Amino acid sequence: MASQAADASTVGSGMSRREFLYYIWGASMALFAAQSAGLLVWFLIPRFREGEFGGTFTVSIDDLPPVNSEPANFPDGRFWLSNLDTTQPNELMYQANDEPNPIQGVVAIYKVCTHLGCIYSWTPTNNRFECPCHGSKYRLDGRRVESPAPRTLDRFRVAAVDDAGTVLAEAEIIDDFVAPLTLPAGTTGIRVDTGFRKKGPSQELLCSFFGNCP
Amino acid sequence: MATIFEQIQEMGIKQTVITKLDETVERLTVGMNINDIRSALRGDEPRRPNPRLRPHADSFWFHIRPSFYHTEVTHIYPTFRLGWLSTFMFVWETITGIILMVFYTPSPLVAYSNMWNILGNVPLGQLMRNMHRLGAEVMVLVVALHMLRTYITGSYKKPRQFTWATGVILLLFTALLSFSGYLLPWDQLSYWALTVFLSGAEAAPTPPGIDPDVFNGNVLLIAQGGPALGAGGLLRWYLLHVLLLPLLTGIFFFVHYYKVVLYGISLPPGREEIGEDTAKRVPRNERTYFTPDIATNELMWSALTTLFLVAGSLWLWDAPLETHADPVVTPLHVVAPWYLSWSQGWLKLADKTLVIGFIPLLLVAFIVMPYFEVSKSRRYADRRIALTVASLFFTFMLVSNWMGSPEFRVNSSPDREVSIELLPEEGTSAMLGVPYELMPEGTYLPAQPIDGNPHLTYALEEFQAAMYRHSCTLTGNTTWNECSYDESTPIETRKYSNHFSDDVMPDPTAKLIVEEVQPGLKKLTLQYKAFSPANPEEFLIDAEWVKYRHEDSNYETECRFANKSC
Repeated sequence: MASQAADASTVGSGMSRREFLYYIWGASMALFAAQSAGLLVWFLIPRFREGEFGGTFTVSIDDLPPVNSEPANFPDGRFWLSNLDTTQPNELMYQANDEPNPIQGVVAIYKVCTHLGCIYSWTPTNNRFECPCHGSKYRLDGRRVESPAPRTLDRFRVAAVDDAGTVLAEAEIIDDFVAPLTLPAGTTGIRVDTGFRKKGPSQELLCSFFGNCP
Repeated sequence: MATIFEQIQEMGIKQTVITKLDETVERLTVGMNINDIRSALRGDEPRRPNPRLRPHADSFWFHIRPSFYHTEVTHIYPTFRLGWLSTFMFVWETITGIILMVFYTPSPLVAYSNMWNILGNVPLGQLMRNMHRLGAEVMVLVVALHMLRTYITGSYKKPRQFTWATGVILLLFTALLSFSGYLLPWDQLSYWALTVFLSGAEAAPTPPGIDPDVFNGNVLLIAQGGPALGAGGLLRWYLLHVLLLPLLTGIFFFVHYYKVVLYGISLPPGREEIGEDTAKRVPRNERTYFTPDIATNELMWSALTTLFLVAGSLWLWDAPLETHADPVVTPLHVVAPWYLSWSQGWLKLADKTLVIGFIPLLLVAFIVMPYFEVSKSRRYADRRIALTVASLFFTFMLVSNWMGSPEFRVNSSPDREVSIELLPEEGTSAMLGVPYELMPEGTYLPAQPIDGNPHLTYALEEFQAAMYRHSCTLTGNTTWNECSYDESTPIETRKYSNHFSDDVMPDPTAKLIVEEVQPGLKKLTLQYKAFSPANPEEFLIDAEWVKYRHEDSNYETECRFANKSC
């Protein structure tokens, strides 16, 4: 113990005031550089006006696709609208064993593939969304059918509104994901809030239920 | 010192001019007068003191070059001139890039039309663009080969570990330089290649304790300048391409090159004792002097590379330019640039976070490798493990590249695949290559012969061939292959296949409809119908694919140019 204390004191006494001040100066410069780097990052984050993409879009009920038919494309708002009802037998919106029964209502699905940001599209002959980049496939409601997508497609929150713009019903958030919205009577429009996006969960691949995963 | 007038009086005008010229040359070369230069070019022995060494001591450009090399490293083996060629390519890209910058504005509003202006209007514009683009790809290749040979000859070993580390960083910068230029034409190819690249980067693993949505989300915002690639993103990548990355590359280049000069170029492994490094101890009789031998040799390689790049740009290869970038339509069959194909391949195999996290780890592993792999011998026979690892890695990269290539591509529905072959979104095809006037209005069937119209007949034969690859028969129609399918699945959900494809149209009917929708514009529609075997009333496939063909679109010229048989 004694020798260690002695060593420490030698080190301490070996440092002149000038050396010490240089270290302080160096430390302050390092701090300044770190602050500048932080400011640079802050400076580089783009500012974009909300309201273009990122604002709300109101879609007339006439533009809503019929139940269990091909989804409607809204490029300006970067979403697809799908109208789902698993109680009616159909090929587009089949039901898997692990899902709540029935799945009913309207969903607004973000146009961007959850894999690597490509824009997937609806492939009518295969009755599903297909991504041209790496081949992820999704069901009508956005649940993934085949990988490499890591999760279900993201959804925007939707609300049913009437002519006066009054909100009649709003989609529920269940397990941190937007549930399909059943439209109440009197609905004339669907309002999609593209500023409110929930990431899709990592559900099991649908193809695994049918045993036809590639 | 006599004034110039006194000199003229003394020697006459002619002699004075010659003397002055000689002095000027000696000043410019810092030490070599006209006679010294001529004697070097003749191959004479230098006079004493050797004037060819003075520029290496006193001039800027020569002082960064060594005054002599070991003769053993001046042959093709072991360097293959790859270091010099990398430097040359960097200079080449800088020059052609600055020329292109004159005609380019980094804005989505005009970038694409700037490209067409460069291609069609600027004298030698297309040549300049081809040279820049070809140069970029050659540079990636040359730098990668440079690294490969450094590994194989064991030249990364002590004392050159740090040189190797800066080299790995330079390889990274080279790839980034090449890729950052990819976005600038603002066409579909560039837009989607970069979108995929950036989304990949977004999937990178986050430092522990940080919310990945916030951290990676903001990194993505910074990199693409907005919620999607747009004006901000283009400007950012342009600035990276023309300013930041060249600057960083330049800095690391000089560090790299300083170390090369400091330690000398390593001799062929068999030429020195194990554990020795004699690159800087060169006996007099094994020296090859920079002036004139190395200098002229480098000039020769520069001239040959220039010849290759110019000839390649003129006759062998054209830089691609697709249609204008469309942020809401991803084209089918997107491919990465070839030097990133391996990453596309990996992405098809494994989880993206794993893949993207693996790449920086690999880079760090490369950088620190020489500090861990410390065996002394550079001889091939003593480095069997190292060389085996290298060949395995090389094979792995080749396979990954193949998997990322269009050979291993993602297939869409059979009708779309046929449509893409016949009426592709980009480029030309047998059907688009039919001259406008030889495509009369009407409805045509696959393989229908059209009298006196070999172009259209050929296109319809190609239609038949494409249908053949994506169709099959259940009714014994001899036009198609027999369908194969899994008996155990219910008939409604059955997948049909033939030996070309595992998802095909059973017993389809298909036709091509040509309509003139306005003077000089024809609408080409491909129509497919296939009935469900379970229910003959219901369509399994009922699809259309439309493409317009303008009188002045030059698909047939493109066909001839691309040497395609359309």
